Amino acid sequence: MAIDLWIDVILCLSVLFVASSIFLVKNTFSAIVLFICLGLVVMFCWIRLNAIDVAIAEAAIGSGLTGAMLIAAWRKLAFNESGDQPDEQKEKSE
Amino acid sequence: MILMTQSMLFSLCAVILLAIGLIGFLLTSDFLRKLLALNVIGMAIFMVLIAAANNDPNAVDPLPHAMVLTGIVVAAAGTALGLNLASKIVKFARSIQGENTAIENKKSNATQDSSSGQTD
Amino acid sequence: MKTSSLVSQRTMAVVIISLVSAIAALLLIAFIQQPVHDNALREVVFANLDKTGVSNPVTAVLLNYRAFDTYLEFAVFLCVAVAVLPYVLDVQLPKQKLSAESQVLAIAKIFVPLSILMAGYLLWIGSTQPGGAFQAASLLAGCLVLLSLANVRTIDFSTARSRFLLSGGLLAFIVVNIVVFSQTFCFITLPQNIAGSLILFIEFFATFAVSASLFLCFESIHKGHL
Repeated sequence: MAIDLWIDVILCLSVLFVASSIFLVKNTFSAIVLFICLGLVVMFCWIRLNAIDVAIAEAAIGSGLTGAMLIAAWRKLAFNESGDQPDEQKEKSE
Repeated sequence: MILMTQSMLFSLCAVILLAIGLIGFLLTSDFLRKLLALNVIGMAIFMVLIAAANNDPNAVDPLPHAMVLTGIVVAAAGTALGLNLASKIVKFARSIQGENTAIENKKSNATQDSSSGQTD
Repeated sequence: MKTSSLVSQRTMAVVIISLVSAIAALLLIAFIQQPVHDNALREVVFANLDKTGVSNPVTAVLLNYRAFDTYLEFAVFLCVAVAVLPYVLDVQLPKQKLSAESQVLAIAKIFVPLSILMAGYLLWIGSTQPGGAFQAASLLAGCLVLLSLANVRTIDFSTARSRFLLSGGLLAFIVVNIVVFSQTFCFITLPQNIAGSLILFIEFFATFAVSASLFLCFESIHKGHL
């Protein structure tokens, strides 16, 4: 196989690695950051597949704006009412 | 064996990404991760479309590009609606929990007053 | 996951993973055995590309060949904005202006003017090179998000002119098509000599509408639900 195809194989393997690690980390904030990384790696896939318009839109909307919304929602969902630690870490310490 | 072109490689990667997203959706109970899994499934479907558009790299088909462009934007809007719904549910649940603790505090105060009244 | 009484959590996980693997294997077989298809639609797109007024095929597909789909997508955006608007309107605006956060504001002072310039370039170059309305709109939405994180009050969504901003793409599309229909009596068909200018007109208003809707989605989660 040509060298182009080996680069594509490495790109696909990194996509699958980042996507599977979203569901294997314990911390929710790490999962959201890994989702933003997945959006950027997938943007490279679009560039390799000659889809430049899709790549620009994916980088800005798919990973940028969706990531910002997810982090803003994480602040509301993961904390207790009094504003202390997230619930997961409290359960671990108990 | 199959002839491994670029389009076939990305199609296979997309199917495995779909499987990862689906397993992650079904096996996690945390809400934010379920939403992340839905987005991962969406990205896998976009990869299927664009890999199919790139069958011949010299003659790229622009119609799936337009579909995926629409799809990315609608997926982001859908994620926003889901997050709004989740925040509203959590806010409602916390207000209910606040009312429950207030009622329990009132009950314990009333029993304490009655017991202290009997001893006096 | 709650453990039911009949099956344990581990057997449920094994069943789910085996079923999903079976689905993935079937899909893989389907992809390997797919028949070779010749792309007739692509030939049609590229044969008539000079009649559309733009030379970027994706912009031609989005705003000329499938203009009705893009019109429906603007309507979907308006529906999402209407669904999300009450969470922003419920929050009372603070009486005095919050002090602008200095560090994020310093970043915003550098990036926002450059991003606005880049968004204008992407909108203009969408006719010939990769770019277009959605990419420019996402860049503008990023600018608005950055300013909102720096506690700068950007768009007040309770005024009437912000509603016109949100529905700008839809209104521009309707106005253009009514005017063209009154002259040529062809339904959603752009005349060939002014097609490029009309596409740029629709894209201009659509950029602001889409960016305002995306910013509203972020703002409702960030500032709402208090």
